[in-house]
Amino acid sequence: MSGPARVMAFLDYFAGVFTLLALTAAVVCGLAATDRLVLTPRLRVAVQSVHRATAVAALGFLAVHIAVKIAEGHADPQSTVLPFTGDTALAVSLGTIAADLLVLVTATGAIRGRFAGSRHAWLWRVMHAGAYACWPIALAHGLTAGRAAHAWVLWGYGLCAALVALALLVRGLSWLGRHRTATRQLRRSKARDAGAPRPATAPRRPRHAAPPVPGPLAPAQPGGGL
Amino acid sequence: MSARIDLPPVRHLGPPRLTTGLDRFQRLDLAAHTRLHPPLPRLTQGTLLDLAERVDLRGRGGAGFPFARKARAAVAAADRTGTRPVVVVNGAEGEPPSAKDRMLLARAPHLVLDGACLAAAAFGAEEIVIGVAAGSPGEVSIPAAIAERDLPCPARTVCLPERFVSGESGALIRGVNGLPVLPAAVKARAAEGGTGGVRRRPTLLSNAETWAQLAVAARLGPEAYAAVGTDSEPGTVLLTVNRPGAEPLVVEAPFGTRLGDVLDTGGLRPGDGVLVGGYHGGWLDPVDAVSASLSRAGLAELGGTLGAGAIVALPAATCPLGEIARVAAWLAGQSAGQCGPCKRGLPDAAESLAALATGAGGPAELEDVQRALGGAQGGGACSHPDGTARFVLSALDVFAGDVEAHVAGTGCGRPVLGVLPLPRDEGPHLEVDWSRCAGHGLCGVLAPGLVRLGPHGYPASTTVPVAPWQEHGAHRAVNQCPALALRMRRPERK
Repeated sequence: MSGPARVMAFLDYFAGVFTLLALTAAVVCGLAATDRLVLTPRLRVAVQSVHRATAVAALGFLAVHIAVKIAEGHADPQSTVLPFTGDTALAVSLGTIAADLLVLVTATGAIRGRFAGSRHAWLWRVMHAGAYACWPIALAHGLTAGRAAHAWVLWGYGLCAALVALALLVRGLSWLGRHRTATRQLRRSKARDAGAPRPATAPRRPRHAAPPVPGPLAPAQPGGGL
Repeated sequence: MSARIDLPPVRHLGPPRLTTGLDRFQRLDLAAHTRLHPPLPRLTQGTLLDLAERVDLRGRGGAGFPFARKARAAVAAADRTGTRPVVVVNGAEGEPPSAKDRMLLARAPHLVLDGACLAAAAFGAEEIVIGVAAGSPGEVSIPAAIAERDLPCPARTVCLPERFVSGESGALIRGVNGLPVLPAAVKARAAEGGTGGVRRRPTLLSNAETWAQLAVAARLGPEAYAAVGTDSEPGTVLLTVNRPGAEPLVVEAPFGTRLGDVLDTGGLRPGDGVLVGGYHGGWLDPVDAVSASLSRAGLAELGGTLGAGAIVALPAATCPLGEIARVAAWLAGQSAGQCGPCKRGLPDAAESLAALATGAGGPAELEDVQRALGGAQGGGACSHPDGTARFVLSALDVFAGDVEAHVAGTGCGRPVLGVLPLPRDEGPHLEVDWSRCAGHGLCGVLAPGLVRLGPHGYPASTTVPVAPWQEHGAHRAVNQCPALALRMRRPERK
């Protein structure tokens, strides 16, 4: 086999795998970088750098993967951008969806600083969270569209997915908890400002929290444990 | 361009020399200049050097280096290498309390050019370069003056960014050479040519006032020039008297004039202390200040320095420590960010001073200031850390009573009026959105010199001015803040 042909064969075989590996690393690092329990700020900066580097690598491998597939005639250019066009299989179309999402998510990552200056910082979070849709779809594509994977590969991805799901669950629940505390306090202070009578039933509180503040004269405690 | 602010008013104590005719004319064009000043004599290399030596002409930019020694070095280097020297006029006055060079270039440009042309003719110079601060009136006045007169060699005007370090001679030459306008990292003498010179030529650089003084001395001759001033320091000196709420006044006074008389001319009282020598100068006790003799020797006796002749009196109504902290923070931001003392020492000292000024600091902060500045002295590629240290440490000395009140925790209770002049803040700022900030602390890692974290892990201040060399770190902090709580804000330019 000639040199270029061997390179082509190698890329055909591995570019997709590398894309999936880099994407996995990017998702895991991105999530890990938000951790405050174990990591020091310095380490978090480092993990964030790895997150960015792997995301860029994933994008690069994706471009190679798509280019090779088009060059070899396995895919037509249109179906690499628009899913479910032509007569592509579902497994291949999943790859197209994941690719589009990856480009979108990486783009939001690149212009993150712009969102920090605007009032719509939450919009950035929503868009960047597209990664959590992109990754499982990419996994599904990788495991179904090509050759059959080894069992340990399946186990590895399964473990990553389980860890990410767990971390996401913890993050989601803690956010929900904070959010509920904030809204409850807001509602209570509004009621107090309006001079409305306190509700007959005392608000439910966790057993370990401090007893409720006695009178309407006590100052509100923003960010308190209630 | 508003002419009212850009052309500083002028007074003179004793005979007017550099300020001749400026009481009647806004600007001396060539016609007015030749009417007021006798024709310029032609000097040979030897007579010029002899003249400079006999009147002990020294650099008026602050360092006070003997002009004759500098000129001899440049001439020797030119002879050795067989090249022609370049004459440079340093008019890039980056110091906010000083306006004398700005005034000279704007109102008496031909006097400055006279001096430069004398030297250029005597030394067979290749060209004359005049460095002016961008946006200053000299930017217009100097090219106009060059266009209307005869010159012994080509002359050009170079505009330099209006920054404190732009006025440093090495930075200016680098700017003329098309390099970033920062002090040269490795010291090289301009007079020797090589990397330190303009286009590698032996370069004779002096402050705008020095060149004007040379022209005056050439016309008067050494004896008449020494008719005023002290024995060791003959002649006159240009001083900038800063008046709160009014434009600065440029005063020409003979060396040895009492500082009290100069303050009277500006209608000032010594107040709590008097700053002589600008923001690289030293503070004088008000009692000493009134009788202080304005000469290098007279001020050295009191532990002060004449510097570039900028004078500020601090009224009793303002908080001295607050004023010092303001200027120290500005000086820290104005550094080139090249060397350790400026990168770490000055911001540390400014931070601790700010804490002291607000009453949040104690003896530990005072010690921090002294340690940071003590360590900063003597290091670095230029005199910025040394000058800043002199400014702050002499202030701590003169305002010892006020410092005590602040260290004790209560502060002096006076507001900070902003008497010490600073340019309008036009740089970007880093802002914290407190509704989002969750104290992740990544900014403290990403931009360590910029964002300082308080005891609870949150940034210690809401808006932080960002110096040009800190912008990279600031952008990283904005991009990587997990809570999207940081943003860069640039004030809109006019």
